[in-house]
Amino acid sequence: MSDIGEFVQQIKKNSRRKNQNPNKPAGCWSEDDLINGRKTKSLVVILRTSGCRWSRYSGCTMCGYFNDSLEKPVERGQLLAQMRYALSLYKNEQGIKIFTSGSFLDGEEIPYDLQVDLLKQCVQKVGVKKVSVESRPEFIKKEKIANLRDVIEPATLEVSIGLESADDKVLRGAVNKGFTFKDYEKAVDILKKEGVLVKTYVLIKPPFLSEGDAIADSVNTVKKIKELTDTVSFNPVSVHRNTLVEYLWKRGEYRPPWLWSIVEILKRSKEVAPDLEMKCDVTGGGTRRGAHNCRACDAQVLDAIRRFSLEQDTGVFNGLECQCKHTWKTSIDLESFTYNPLVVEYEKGW
Amino acid sequence: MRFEVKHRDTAARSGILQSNDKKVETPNIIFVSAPGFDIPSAAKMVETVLPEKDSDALQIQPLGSIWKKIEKNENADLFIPPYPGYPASMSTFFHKTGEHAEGEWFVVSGNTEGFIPEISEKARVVTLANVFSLFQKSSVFVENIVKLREKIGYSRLLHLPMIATPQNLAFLVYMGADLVDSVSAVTAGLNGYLLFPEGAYYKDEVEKGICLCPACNGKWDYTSRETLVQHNYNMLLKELSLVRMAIKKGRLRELVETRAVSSPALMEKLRILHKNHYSFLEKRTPLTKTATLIATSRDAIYYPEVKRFRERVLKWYRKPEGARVLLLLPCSARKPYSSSKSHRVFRDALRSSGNPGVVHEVIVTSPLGLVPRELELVYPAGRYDIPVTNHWYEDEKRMIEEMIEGYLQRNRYDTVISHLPEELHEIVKGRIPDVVSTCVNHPTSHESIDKLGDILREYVTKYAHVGSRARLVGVARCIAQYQFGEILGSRLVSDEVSIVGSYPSFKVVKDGEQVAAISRERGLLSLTLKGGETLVSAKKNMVFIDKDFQPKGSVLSVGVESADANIIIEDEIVVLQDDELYAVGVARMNGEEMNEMKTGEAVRIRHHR
Repeated sequence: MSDIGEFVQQIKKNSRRKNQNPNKPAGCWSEDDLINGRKTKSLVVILRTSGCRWSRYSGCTMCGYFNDSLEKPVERGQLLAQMRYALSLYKNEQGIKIFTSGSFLDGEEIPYDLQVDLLKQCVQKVGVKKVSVESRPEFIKKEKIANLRDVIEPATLEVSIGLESADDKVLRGAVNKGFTFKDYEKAVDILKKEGVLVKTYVLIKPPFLSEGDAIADSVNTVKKIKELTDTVSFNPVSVHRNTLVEYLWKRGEYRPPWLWSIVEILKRSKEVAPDLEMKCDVTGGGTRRGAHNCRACDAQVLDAIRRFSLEQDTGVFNGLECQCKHTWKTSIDLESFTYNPLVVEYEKGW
Repeated sequence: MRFEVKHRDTAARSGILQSNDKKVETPNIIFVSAPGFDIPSAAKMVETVLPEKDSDALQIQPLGSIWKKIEKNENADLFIPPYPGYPASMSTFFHKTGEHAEGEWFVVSGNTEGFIPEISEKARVVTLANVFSLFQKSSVFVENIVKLREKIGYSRLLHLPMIATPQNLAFLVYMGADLVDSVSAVTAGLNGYLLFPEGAYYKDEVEKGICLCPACNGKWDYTSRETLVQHNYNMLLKELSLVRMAIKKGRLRELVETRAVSSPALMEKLRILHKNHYSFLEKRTPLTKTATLIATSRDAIYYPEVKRFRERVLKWYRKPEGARVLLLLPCSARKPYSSSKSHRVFRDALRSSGNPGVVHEVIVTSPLGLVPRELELVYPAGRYDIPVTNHWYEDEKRMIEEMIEGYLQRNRYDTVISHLPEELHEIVKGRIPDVVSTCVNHPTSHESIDKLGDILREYVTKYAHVGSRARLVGVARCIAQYQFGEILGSRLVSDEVSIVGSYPSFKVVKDGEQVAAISRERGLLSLTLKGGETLVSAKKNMVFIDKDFQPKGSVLSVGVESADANIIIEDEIVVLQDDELYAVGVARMNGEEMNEMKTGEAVRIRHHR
């Protein structure tokens, strides 16, 4: 064992891919969204590709999206078919988000001309104001970005980068992200200069960090990126299969974040950067594998987080109370002394 | 930081830790300062992220984790380095990284693969991180603690965070923990549990009036988490007092066993420790003790002092030369055996046989197996107590059988007579088919005693007479063999010595000069300078001291230049200065500790030049 990537790879070896239809996207749905500060809808398309290049030879500690990727490179016709299928579900949404469980801008994952074609398909739908894609910073190149921006005009292009944390120590030692904060800054610089919108994913509670460390890390990340990004999207870790996070979780050494921590991060982030658009989609919220509180209050708190993402008002958190809030607070206080992950079980609570 | 050990009980020790002019006793509980839960006034060590000015308690500040370090606060007396960042189940690679030390405090990143990094020379306290995770798996936990304790040696304190409860505290200390904390008392309280030394009870199960601790008494308001936590603090503190007292009295294991009986998870750790880590425990177990060995547990056959006794009897002991007839006897409740009513009756029969000197009495017992009469004063034979039921467990039977087999390979007799009750006789007979039985119904019945007398007379008359003075020389020689090994023991108590005084307190004299004395209390040879010369000639149990010291009462470890690493507590020691014998005395710490420690008494001097 020489590094964290090897550890991640070793865990992945146990994964077995399901039979996947390369002519249909891995997922497609319509969801509430905020565009230009207005509540609206977006169509989400998850294209099935060969997946994240980084994940193939190393990989992030919390990411299990490789489970949805194809083992062989996807053919041009198949990808176009996936997009056609997705757009057949289009119902006048103002936004289209194209995810790939990897990097849309990675030419190995989706050849560049195909990237262009897929985006063109999107803007053929009248009413689309914004198209979002995701990419690791190393695939963000000036000329290509400029061209993609032109292709979809007058719709706006948004590129989302999974920064996770602005702390290189966390990126390297806890997430194994494979790039540094500086790499992110460079990519953002390109996007800004080309007038492309930037959305930044911030991870909530990477493995190894205590609940308190995780809150501080997320808020600190917001501080560092508030001038760089147009939108922050917080991603609370959920326990994906065949990941290092799952390995720890099964051994009682990882607990997905408390919903209270998410609320805390959102409140403090909004204080730090009042004008920044922030959202948070709690994947698997309220389940054992997702961010959760004590079961009793999960639905209520999740609803408040959802409302916050649309209203950008921390007032939605006022009056949220539950007995477990005290537990959460005390557990954070105690973590300073445990010298061991402190896991408060889902069923028992305190 | 200064640390001095005052009392030792196997791997447990109690002592004084001093830092910034604040002195605290060890073992101790570090009370973590959790907002909303008052720290008890008895707390002498407090772990807090916000240390106060001018606190009487020793204040320890944790410095966060490698992911988020906390700034040092100058009010704190000591600092615990940041948590190394990776949980126990991560592979060794992850536990090699990160910083570990902060001043004299060192953190080891505990892991299931058992990797331990190099520990800095400066380190005085070592925290085992991830110990809560390790604690969930008994064998992993025990292996890790033993390995770590061996690695950090004697002069450093071992800190085990997050796991202490009133039930396991005695065990943690028994394994070598010096510092624990109150985290579990808080988490249990938050979970609604009241902790007791016997285990945990959910608040709704506990009837009013059961607990009279200050937090409970009169109110028994278990709807309040504060009450539950304070109760748990009280139980921890009370148990800590018991643990400290038990260490001073050399009776910690009894307390540990009492606690473990109601916890399979704890009992399994105790068993693993006793079965798999004999040498770790043995070198920390004194050769003799004033406390009676209580052997109520079936695991008693694995106790270090018990196993050591059997091993020394098998390897170092040799039967007296004149002995031709082996007489196997049952043990007695009263010790030494010869002072008991039953043994007085047996010995009357033996004496009236006409030639008792050719008969060798060996007592068959559990958990010691075989105790030759000469060693009846030696600890633990001279001081043990067992429940007597005439039922023998399979482990005990096998132990006795193996002991008989090993013993008879080294010690040959013409005849073996068994004066044992039926259950025990059956075990012996399996190994010695031609054994002669003299026991009818009960060993002390008239028929039995008559038969014993008859059979003994029949056999002993064949041999030449052996005198009783020669028997006391034999006793002294056997004890010497037990203490120093067969060859050196025989040289120390040679055929030229004579005996002054009478059993069980007598002196060994050679060329008109006393060599050693034996007393009932100690059950061992206490050497004079003349006796010490024999040890020097064999280079045994030597402690070399600085030539600038002229110690009278005791040799302090700081003055020890080097010591025989095989020395154990209560061993006879020869103190040398400039390669000349300076004094004889008794070891107060083992040889490894003498070589390492800079504080505390190493040797108590008996005679010096």
